[in-house]
Amino acid sequence: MSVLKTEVELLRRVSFFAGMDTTRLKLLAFTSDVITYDASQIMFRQGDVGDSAYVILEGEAEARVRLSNGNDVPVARIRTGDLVGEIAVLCDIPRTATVSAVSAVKALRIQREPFFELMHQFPEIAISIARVMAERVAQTTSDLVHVKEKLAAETAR
Amino acid sequence: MEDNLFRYAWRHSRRQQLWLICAVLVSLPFYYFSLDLPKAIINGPIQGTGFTAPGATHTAMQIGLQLPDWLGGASFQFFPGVQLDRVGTLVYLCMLFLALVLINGAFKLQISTYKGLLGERLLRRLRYQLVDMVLRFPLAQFRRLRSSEVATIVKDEVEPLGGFFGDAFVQPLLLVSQAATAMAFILLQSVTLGLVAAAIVAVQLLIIPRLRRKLLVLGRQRQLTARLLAGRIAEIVEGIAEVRTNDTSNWERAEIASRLGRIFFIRMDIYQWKFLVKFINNLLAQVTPFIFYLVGGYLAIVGQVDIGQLVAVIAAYKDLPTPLKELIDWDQARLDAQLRYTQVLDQFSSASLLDPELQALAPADSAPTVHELSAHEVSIRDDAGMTVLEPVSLSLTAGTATLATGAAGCGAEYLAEACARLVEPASGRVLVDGAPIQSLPDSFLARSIGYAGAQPYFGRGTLRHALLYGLYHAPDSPPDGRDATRQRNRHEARLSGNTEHDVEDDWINYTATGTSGPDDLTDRLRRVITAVELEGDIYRIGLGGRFPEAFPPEIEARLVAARDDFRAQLGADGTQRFVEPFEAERYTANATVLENLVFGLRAPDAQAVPMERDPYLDEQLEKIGLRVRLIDMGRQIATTLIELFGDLQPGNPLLERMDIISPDELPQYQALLPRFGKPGEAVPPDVAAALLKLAYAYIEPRHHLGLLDKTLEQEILAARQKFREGLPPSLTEVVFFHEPGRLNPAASIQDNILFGRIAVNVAEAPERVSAILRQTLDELGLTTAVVERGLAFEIGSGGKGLSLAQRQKISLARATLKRPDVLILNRALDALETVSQSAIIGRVMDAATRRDGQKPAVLCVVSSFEPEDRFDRVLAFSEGRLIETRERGQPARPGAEPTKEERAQARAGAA
Repeated sequence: MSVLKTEVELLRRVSFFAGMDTTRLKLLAFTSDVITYDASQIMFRQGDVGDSAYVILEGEAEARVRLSNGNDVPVARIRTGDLVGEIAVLCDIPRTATVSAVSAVKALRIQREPFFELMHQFPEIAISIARVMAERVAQTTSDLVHVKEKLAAETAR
Repeated sequence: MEDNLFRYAWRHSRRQQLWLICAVLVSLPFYYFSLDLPKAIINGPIQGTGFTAPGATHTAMQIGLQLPDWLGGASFQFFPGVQLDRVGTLVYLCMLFLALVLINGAFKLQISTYKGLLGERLLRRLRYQLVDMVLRFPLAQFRRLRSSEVATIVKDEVEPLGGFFGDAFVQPLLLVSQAATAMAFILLQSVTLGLVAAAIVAVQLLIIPRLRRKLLVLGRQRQLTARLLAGRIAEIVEGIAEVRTNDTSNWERAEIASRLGRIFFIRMDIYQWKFLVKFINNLLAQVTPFIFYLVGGYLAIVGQVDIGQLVAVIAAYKDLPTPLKELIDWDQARLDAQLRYTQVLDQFSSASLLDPELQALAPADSAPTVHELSAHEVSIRDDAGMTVLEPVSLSLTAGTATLATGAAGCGAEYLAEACARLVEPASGRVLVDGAPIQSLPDSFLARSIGYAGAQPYFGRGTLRHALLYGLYHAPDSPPDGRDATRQRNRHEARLSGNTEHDVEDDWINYTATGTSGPDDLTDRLRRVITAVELEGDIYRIGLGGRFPEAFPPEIEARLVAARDDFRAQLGADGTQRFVEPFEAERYTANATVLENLVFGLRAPDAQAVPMERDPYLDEQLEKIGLRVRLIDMGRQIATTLIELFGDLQPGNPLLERMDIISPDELPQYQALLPRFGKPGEAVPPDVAAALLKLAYAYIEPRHHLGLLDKTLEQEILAARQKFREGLPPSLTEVVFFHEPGRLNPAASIQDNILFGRIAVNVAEAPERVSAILRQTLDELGLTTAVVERGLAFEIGSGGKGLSLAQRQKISLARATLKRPDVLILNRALDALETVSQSAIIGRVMDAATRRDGQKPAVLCVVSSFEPEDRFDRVLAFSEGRLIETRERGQPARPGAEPTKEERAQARAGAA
């Protein structure tokens, strides 16, 4: 089995790309780079300008956020098949978290330019991404409502 | 320009044309003599007229002058002549004939050459004038102009005019006089025969051109119908779905058949006319001798003409049809040329051209500094007449910085364009220190306004040329330092009405940059490219280049030392794995298969067969059985890439990402695979070469198709050995192997110092290696040499070799290099994200000073900028309107609906 196929299988598991055609996924994999990281090596830093997203092919990584009081807090565990760093690719904002490898990591680096060219070329990709983003917004909104209700209940008490 | 081709030609080549006409007139007597001589030869020595008595002689070479009777009839004899016998006379007359042939030939040669010269000069003048007109078109005209059309007109369409110019006056004159001479000659011999000949000529001249003209019309019809047919066929192909779903295929068949029928009948007409014309022409040409033999023979028998005369008439008549035919051809060429000329003029003269004075060459330090550039109630409409900018006023004064923000299309960009005179306002005015911007010469604006837009364009040339392009203002020509060739070029340019300024001179306006000469300028250039963050890009480009040919040996030694230094630093950092070294016994995964096979490079040479097509390499691969495997590998690459990219439209930017196959080559591989796609199958040599090429370019870590395994790597290493051992003498000179202790002149600077390849798929490898490499080069003082190498990089037509961000940076550097009084940055760096954009623009503003030492006035149009308080004033635009104005340290003020007072105030403030 060619390397490309393995990468495509993994890409398929990413919710972002789930609805995409195999050929398009292959194209995405081909135009991306495979990068290896040592354990504890930093993949990107919070506040940096970001131009690529990563799909973990092997290994595990961790996302940490530095709070305003200077403390580092782990926020997520990123496992094989997970996508990370996509927000910086989609919009022009600095990295929102620092991600570092926990074990040795092999990742597919998707750069902004080919990614946008792909979206431009195949609107179905853009639509499937828009859907995932909308779902996330819906989730975040409902979380927010939940938190607010809780907060209101606490202050009322 | 003259609306008539002849008037144009006459005006610009009168003297040469007259000279030509003189030459033609002088040549005519010789031509006449060459006609007359055969008669003398036949009648005299051959037939024996005048040699009846034995021992009779004939006077030859007598030179004298016989005055006509009305002048007294006196005769002078300068040379009494030589007495010759019959054979002597024959030899003498034949020699004379030969001499005349040579003289006529020499005349023809001279006249033709001169005609060519004249035509080329006029063509050069015409082309130059056309380009000159293009340079003077108003900018708005260019939106309606298609560049390819203009280029075709200047390059191809006027080309045939060059040939015609030389013939315009002299050809008809020459032909008519030749024909007339021949006619006169015939008439002198025999009036009867002359009249016969004249009658036939008249018929020819009257009928043939008419028939031919009909042919022209038919030809045009044919072209038109053929074009329509092509259009219809394209429609069928594109709309095949409609045809099938509507069952109109039979109607389409009938439609096409009727068009084909029309073409058929037109062509039939053409054939009929063409051969009819030919037939009439031939008939007239051949009937004439029949009349001559009959009538002339009869006259000879009766004794009215002698045999010599008859032969001479027939010989002279042979010379008649040719000039006549050429005359008819000339007439046709005239029609064609006049039509072409008018068409070209129509294309170019519709525009109202700028006054040449506005573009007059101005000395380097001519422009006074500008204090204020102001826009007054400027509104702008696009080509469709839609208002894209509502009236707005703005004042840019020395030392103040204005920021205009808004999304793309918000209107601010049009304001910036109007301030740089790139668009003409629909209403309102743009003033430069009180003078309307339209009235100012280019030289003044170019020196005082620096403009950088979002889509800069670059012509072919080096990076250095692109950076300095804003400084090519006037040539600094040494008064008499020109060599003979340049003198000659200049003289010729003057004769063709071209500019006499020499492109080879130094055109750079050093005064504008505040430098004294080339060396100084290089320093300044370095500072500017560093400010716009282009230095790193140029340095990287330089690293990919090879060393210049003449590289001083001491630097070579230092570079080899740099290799060790670099290794030491790399090791010290514990980052050995970032670079994969070149080792004779190991496969370099980050290098191509070809580089691994050769373990070196062939010196680039445009003429030579590239390495991948070298028969020696092929032979070696065949010997160890690797060729078939590599062909299979190429096949797999082609199959995969076609699967991924095959359905993309040509021109799609994604195609560039194929990397191994270039977009133009893709169709070739698409055509080839179905026939030769089976693994292991034998293929013809050209297909093999095409597939091998792909395999050769393959790099596993970069292309990750999983096509290279350890066994294949081993085999390639074995082939490397074989390749090197049996290298034929033809290759030893040009193939340079990687060797630890030596530089490789065929390899890039980076390869030479790294002596290996960056491991692209190790995290941070490229960044870390670059940093160390830079450090090494800095320490050795070689960075400048590398940047120089980068500046010599050919950026390709339109700057294709560079990214948009790089092109924008060049444009920005170019705008600041000349120290403008007003700096207009119109989304100048929008290919970068906001943070980098703001940082670079901030740095450029910090560094910028005018010629008079003040800070320039700045207008910067961006989508967003951080921090905005870097500017004295911030204007927010949206949907073509100014919606808000903020002065530094003052609260925001809405600008959408300024009150009457405010407007008056703004006007007063601006004025």
